[in-house]
Amino acid sequence: MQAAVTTATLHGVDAVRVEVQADVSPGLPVFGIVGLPDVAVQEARDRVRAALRTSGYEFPNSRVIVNLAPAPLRKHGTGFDLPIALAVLCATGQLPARAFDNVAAVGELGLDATVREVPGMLAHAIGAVTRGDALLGPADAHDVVSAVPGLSFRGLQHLAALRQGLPAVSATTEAEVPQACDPQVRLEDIAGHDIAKRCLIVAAAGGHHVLLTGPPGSGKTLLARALAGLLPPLNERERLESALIHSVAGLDPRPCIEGRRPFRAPHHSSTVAGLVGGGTPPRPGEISLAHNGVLFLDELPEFPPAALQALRQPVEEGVVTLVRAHGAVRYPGRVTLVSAMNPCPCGYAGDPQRVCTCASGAVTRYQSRIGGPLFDRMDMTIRVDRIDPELLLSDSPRQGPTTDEARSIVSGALSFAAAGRPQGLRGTLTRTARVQLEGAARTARMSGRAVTRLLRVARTLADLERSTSIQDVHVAEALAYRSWEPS
Amino acid sequence: MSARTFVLELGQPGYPPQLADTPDPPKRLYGIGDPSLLAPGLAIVGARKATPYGLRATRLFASWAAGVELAVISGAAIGCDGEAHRAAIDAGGTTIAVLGCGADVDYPRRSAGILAHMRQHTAVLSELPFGTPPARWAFVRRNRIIAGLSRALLVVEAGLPSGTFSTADAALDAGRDVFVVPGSIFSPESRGSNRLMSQGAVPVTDVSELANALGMSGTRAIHSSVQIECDSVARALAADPQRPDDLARALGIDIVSAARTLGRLEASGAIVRYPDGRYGVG
Repeated sequence: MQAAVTTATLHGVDAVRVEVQADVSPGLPVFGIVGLPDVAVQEARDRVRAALRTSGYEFPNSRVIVNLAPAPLRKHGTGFDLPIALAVLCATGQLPARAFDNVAAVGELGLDATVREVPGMLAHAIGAVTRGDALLGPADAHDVVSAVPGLSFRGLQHLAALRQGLPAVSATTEAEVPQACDPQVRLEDIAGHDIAKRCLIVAAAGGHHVLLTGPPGSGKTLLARALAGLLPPLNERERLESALIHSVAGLDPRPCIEGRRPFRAPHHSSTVAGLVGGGTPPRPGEISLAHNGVLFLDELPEFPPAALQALRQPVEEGVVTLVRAHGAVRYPGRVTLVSAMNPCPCGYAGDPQRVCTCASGAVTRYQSRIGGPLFDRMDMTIRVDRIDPELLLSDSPRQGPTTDEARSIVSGALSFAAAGRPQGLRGTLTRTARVQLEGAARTARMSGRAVTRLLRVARTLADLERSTSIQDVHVAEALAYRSWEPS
Repeated sequence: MSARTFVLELGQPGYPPQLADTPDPPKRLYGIGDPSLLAPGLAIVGARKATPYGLRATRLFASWAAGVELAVISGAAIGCDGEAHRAAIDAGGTTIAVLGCGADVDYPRRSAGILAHMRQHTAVLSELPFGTPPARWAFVRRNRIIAGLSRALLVVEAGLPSGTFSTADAALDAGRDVFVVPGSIFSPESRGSNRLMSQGAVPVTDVSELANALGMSGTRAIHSSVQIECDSVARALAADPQRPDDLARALGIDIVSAARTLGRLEASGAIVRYPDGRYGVG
């Protein structure tokens, strides 16, 4: 007897359809899985055997061969447990032969036959919708997969529940209106640093990359964390994109589904694979997990040079393409890159009070670890210095906008940029602004990319004022935030 | 080794007489270039971590010295030293480097270009044999040669602590005048030079002052006074380089208009951004 059940395996953020075929024939009792399964899939044999027995079904005492088609595609993960069990049940006549037509089954089985969540449930859900299938999977995944519009999901708690037939389609819960996250650090809690705060608002409104340099303890990390609170909640499309990557990486996608912007702060010991993605099977890196959010790299020069240089292309293009022998995998990675660094190994170069003890060569070497190409991609480079204790301890109200005010300014700029003005950059530049930009670009010997990036910052500054055209004041301000050359 | 190398023995003809008169003259001078250029010159020394202000002052005085045919003597270090050589070369004058390693060794590496130029057209000296690698102690020792070869020493910008002090001490021991370019009392990079001044070094605020003190004509002097835009921001920055936050606070303007003015002034070249994030008049 033969039977087939549909499932999928992950390739990047896509669920690729796989057919689980089971053949039960007379002969010596054997249970084999073919079709390039990895170790986790091979182990499914023991879990399926035990789960069938505990749920009151019978594992056939004959020759069982399971094939995963298409056979040349590598299969990985524990999500194959459920479809293998179903295929065996159908092939032995314990369930109707065509019970799972137009259903994709995904889930891990416990020895007690409970159906458990696997990484990438969202990817499986999206795959099922595009193929027009229903998804049969762990009931626990209901709140995650209900974020996918148009999905009919049949949640299964326990394998034994199939005795009552296929589970009913769960009602889709209406997604709650996303709330902006409660930030750990609010702008009004930070004394001084006016220009850095202004840059954070600009970065939030335009997704610009920021580099904060300054001596230890001056507030770089604090400022970077405050950025998370300035971003409006994820919109519907962004929520699904970000949640999908978290799901595929095996992390909890629920915060993203609730609309919370990702804020990733990997430690500086991170590897290339950890930062941009990689491994076997490929896993998304931190830049993809921060997609639609903030990637914060504290102590930038301490990161391995290879990892930093690997960031160059994704930071520019918003997508990571990992090419491996088995094929290419693409992960999105559109982030606002915020990085912080000390100006030199001792940390005090340029400090007004403390003397830098580094040799002058050491300072240059330290700063050159970042490299010109990555430096060129920083839209705003801001010096953050220790502030006057008097300012820090004074009871007078802080200057500048609060986090809530800043967030509404940012939202206003974003909606103006999206709908309120003509798109494109060059057409909206006034004549005086163009003259000023040309002059500055020539004096500072800016690269084409630097000019374009500067123009983008100027565009955001104009958006913040709801100005249709980019004026000379916007160009001037953008120039003040851009580092003219790696110093 | 190039044919232009020379070795001068103390007490032999050709050895610079002004150096032989100092308390501790080197027994031998190894050099590359033209030994006839070792007439008493103007030593200009200053911090390696020089600010744009220090570099600009160095260029001003070094170009003047080159113009009045006074050799500019310095140590080829990065910062003020290198700028002094470069300015003298640009002005077509004589400039001589004294190294703490062999005269044929390119150290620091970043000065390789100006060293090559000086070996070709003027002279590079050392008391250490050719090929000697750089050593820390040797740089302190060579400072007395820089002082001894000169008729006066000009300290442009020095922090605290600074190797410039050993040059100043050597100059005093050899009976040379020590001049100092004053700096802001708030600038850490000027703390050492201002200290020298309070200890009795002569401040120079203009080329003509230095010219008079050295008994030379100041006719070819270049004016050091800067044309300042009638702008409160530019005027505040000319008085004291500041960070944008402090500037906005001091002038009582909001940070956005401060950033816009700074961006505009920087683009027009009226002000420059220092490596430490402050803005000042370049």
